[in-house]
Amino acid sequence: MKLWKPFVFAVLVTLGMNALDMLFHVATETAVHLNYVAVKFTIVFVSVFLIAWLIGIGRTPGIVSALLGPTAFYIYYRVATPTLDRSLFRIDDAVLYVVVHAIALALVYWLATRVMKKDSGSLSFATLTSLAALPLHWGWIMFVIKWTGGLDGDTTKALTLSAALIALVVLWVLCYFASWVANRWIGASVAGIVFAIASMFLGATAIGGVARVFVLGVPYVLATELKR
Amino acid sequence: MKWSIIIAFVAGIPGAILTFVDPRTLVAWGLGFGRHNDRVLAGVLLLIIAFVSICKFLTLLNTSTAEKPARKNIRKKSSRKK
Repeated sequence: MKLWKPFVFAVLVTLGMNALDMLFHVATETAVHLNYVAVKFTIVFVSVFLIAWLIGIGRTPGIVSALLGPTAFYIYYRVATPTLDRSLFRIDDAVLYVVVHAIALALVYWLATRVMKKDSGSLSFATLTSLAALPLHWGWIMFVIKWTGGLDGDTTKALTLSAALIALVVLWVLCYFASWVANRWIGASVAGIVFAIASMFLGATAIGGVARVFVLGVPYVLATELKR
Repeated sequence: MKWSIIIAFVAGIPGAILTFVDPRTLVAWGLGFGRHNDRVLAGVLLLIIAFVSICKFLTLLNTSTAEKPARKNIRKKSSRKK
């Protein structure tokens, strides 16, 4: 299989998996730590990409990907030195979270394979794109907190569960209606700009607004690549 | 097919060393590049490459095994025509 489609597939699946995982974390009061999110993204992306590129995309590769990525990340957790004070913060280093990560990855993998089908509708497209955009939005907020001098512990409070769910719903609605636009670049731009304006209306800076255009625009364009 | 096995060993052995060997031992062996967590991440990524290589080998093995009966049937049909 060529390189581009597996790469796009892996990016979207990994981002979507991270979205579900981050939502589960805040719902169970487990810390969402920027360092671990970055490592989790790297490990899961490499797993999904290599399997999609060298083996293929389908049911068996999906099951292998869903097991390999979370298991590899669990090994990292067990062996690496903690970067967050575990007496103050609960993180997802228990074996149970391997199952949680695997289920999240399997769900988004299945969703992405649905989007790849020619007759897939706007529903699956909007769901995948909004899930892929959420960790970018969340990650940007965590990055800004760290950039402005916040501690690692402060980044874990970047978004509450309700704020994250509201953001997800807003992203989904924008992606759903933008998918009606025939030209994907116009659809991505309009959705991204509307999201940027909404963010700035709620207090984001101009730079944050520009970032929001890409936060939604990039996953949108990548998801349209899957359908081609 | 043999390349899959070679890559599995070439990636898997260093990956296992970087991931599971004590950091002080790695530093003593001259493999103390970066921080401990960076070495662990590199090791885990190498282990993933090794695992995928093994999966690729098994996939190719399955494919070549599935092709053999098809070739046998073609030979049988051609010998009957004579």
